[in-house]
Amino acid sequence: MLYSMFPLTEVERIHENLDALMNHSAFNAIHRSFPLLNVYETADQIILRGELPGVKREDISIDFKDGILTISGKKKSRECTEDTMMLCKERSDGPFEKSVKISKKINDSAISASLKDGVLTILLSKAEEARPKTIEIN
Amino acid sequence: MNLEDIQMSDNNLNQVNTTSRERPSQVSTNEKFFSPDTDIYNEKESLVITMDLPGVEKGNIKIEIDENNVLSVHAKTSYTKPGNPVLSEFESGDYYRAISLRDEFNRDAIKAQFEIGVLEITIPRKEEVKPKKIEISA
Repeated sequence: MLYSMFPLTEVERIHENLDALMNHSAFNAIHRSFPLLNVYETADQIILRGELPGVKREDISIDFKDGILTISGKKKSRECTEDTMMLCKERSDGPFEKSVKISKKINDSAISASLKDGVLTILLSKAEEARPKTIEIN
Repeated sequence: MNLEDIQMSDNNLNQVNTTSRERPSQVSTNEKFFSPDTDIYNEKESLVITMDLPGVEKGNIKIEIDENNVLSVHAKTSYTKPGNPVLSEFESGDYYRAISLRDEFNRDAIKAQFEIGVLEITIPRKEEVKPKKIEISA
């Protein structure tokens, strides 16, 4: 079937080659795994936010055991047929697993999670003894 | 090993080593944008571009194609800070990516979909212009 092999212009292709060269593992000492996570703390809660674009709710598992929160699952990419040619592949896919140690004591029955626009938010309520206490002076 | 070899081997990796947050791109002198992780599929009938845009609301995505067939995507994240940061693997920031397209695509038939934090843009190829018979006037 006669169709263009390289629909991107030369400038874009040079850019892609340079990107691939710069992104090659030999050039990057720091390797961050999927999903990227931010953790925040308030007086009452620990809040975890993860970027999981393209991952469906049913493909995510969240476990909390012995103070370790584990997020695992799989991210799927678009199916390729024998006619497909990949011109650029930056998005990761496949199975993932990442754990974070939560150093404050958590009330196990008060953990909730929500997923919106590829962002996972997990709320962990601190146990009573882990919340800051104000001490009155007599 | 030349540039072409590195390009090909990176395309075979399932888990990529860097994420969009590690590849900031400069658009104008005052603003810094992140380049979203992108896959480009060259299909028989169309070009399909998928971009990870976590933390973005559909209404905050702007897709344009200019007179030089440069397709650009600009997206704003809508993160708030829910507490004191304890772990920061990603920052808030806007996304920008521009891709130069050749003339063979039908710019009027570009379709875009946004689901679970992933933007999918489908750019169909122009149908082949059929040969036309020209009659000599009497």
